[in-house]
Amino acid sequence: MMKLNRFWVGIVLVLLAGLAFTKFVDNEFYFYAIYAVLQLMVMGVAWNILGGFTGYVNFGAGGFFAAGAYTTVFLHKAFDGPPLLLAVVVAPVVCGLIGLGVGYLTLRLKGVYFAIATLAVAIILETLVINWEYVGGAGGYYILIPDDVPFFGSYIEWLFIVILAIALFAIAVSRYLNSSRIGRGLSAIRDDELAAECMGVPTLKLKLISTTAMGALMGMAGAPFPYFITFVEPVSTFSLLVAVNAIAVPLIGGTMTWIGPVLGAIVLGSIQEVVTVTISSELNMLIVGGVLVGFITLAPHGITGLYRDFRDKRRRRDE
Amino acid sequence: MSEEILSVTDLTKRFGGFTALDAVNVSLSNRERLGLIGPNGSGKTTLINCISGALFNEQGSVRFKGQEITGLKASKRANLGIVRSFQIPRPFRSMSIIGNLLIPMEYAASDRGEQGALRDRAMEFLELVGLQDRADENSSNLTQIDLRRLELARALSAKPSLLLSDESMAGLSSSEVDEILDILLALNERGVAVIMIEHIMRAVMKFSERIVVLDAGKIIADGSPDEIVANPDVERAYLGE
Repeated sequence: MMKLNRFWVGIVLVLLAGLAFTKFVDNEFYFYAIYAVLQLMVMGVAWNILGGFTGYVNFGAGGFFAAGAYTTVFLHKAFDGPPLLLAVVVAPVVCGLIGLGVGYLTLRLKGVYFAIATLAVAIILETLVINWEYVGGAGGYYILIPDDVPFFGSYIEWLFIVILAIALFAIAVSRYLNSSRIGRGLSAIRDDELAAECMGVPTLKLKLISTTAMGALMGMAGAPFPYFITFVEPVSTFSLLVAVNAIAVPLIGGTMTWIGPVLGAIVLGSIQEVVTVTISSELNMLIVGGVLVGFITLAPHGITGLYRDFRDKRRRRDE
Repeated sequence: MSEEILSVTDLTKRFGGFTALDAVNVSLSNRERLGLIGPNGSGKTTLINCISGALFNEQGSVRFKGQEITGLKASKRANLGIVRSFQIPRPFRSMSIIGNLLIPMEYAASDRGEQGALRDRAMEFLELVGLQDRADENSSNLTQIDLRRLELARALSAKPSLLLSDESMAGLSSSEVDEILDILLALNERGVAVIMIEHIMRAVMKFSERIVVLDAGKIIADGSPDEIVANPDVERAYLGE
């Protein structure tokens, strides 16, 4: 019980700290930079629910992210600039349903076949959007952000709070899925699906819960994106790089627990932002590659794996 | 004879053009110990797979405690009390030994108790197989015999009324075979009916009240161990003419 409370107190404190940050910091750069890190965090956390907890590696993460972004574009056009929060609620519903449908069709595939099927889903979604004139088609879509927002000094501060709240929500969902009965069932599926099924784990149902949660959170990460970037076009939004980033985060942080992708996003996202400013934004992918190679060779189970090994070693020494 | 717990009627399973099981009829009564033997490729594991739900049969029916279960998923059958162990142990490798037991307890046996209470009950099962001192060790570093022990403890923690034991003793030493036999007998004492697939005849003879012999997908003999030993068809199936 103590632990649960500590977690929620932490969540509230971080949110309050975020609000305070908007009051005391004027330099907008920080909000843009932290926004990018937090968006990466949500994507990593979302990917990890299916890829880490359940063991189903997917390359279609970018598709769900973009579907979230395009839900916002659609709402923006259909309702003539509705509040951002509407999109943050609708996008995960849309993307969760896509996740459910895709899961139902592809979850009988395993391993690399599943990964390729999800890649195909992203490409299908991209093709759909390219040919859908209403949301801008291949040409893209501009979103004019409101000049002022109540309570906050500028729109980016508001976006920053929104993505912070989304990140905390995603972490709470991921933590629940990780530490509950559902989470133990997902781990069993990851370890050995047939054995899990024979031990009473309803594998199809749990895998569908997992893909739905992944899709919904990925869509949620994409919902505020059009307001952040202000110009959305299909090729870069659906880019495979989005998926690669989302995969890199949990691999760096560790895939077995909810905290892994959180740490991974902080490490990778911060390095990316610092390098973008100090050296060049072109170096971004190179950095992802470099950090990934480094972790896979030196710490194959990520930051949390390093910690676990360290703890085990110490315990063994103490015994 | 006590009441019937499992009845398999006219079960046929084909893989493409190959008929792995051909109109097989088997029944099992409550708490019975049945040995299932036959040459390699005769369909023993396929039969176990069809009963546990890992495979679905095209024809025939499987009834368990009077309920038709043909077409039910393996997880549902596990809920009803059919649990299997695997020929090649399949532990949940990321989990501790005791963690492996919590999965069937929470799922197959639908035990929603507190984690602490669950752990206590899991420890009882570990004691039965002799793994109680290693409960928190990781399950990926176990030796063969310990893997078999874990496999049986995990099956037991699903609260089965029927255990399908698929070659739990293959590759073990003679004393280890006795150990596994004792575990299986202890399970049976607790009211679990057991179907045991085994090639080690000494173990089958000692364990089984009744033996069914499969050859090329058909049942060629069904009787007490003594009858089976004396059966000329069985001898022919194993040794040829």
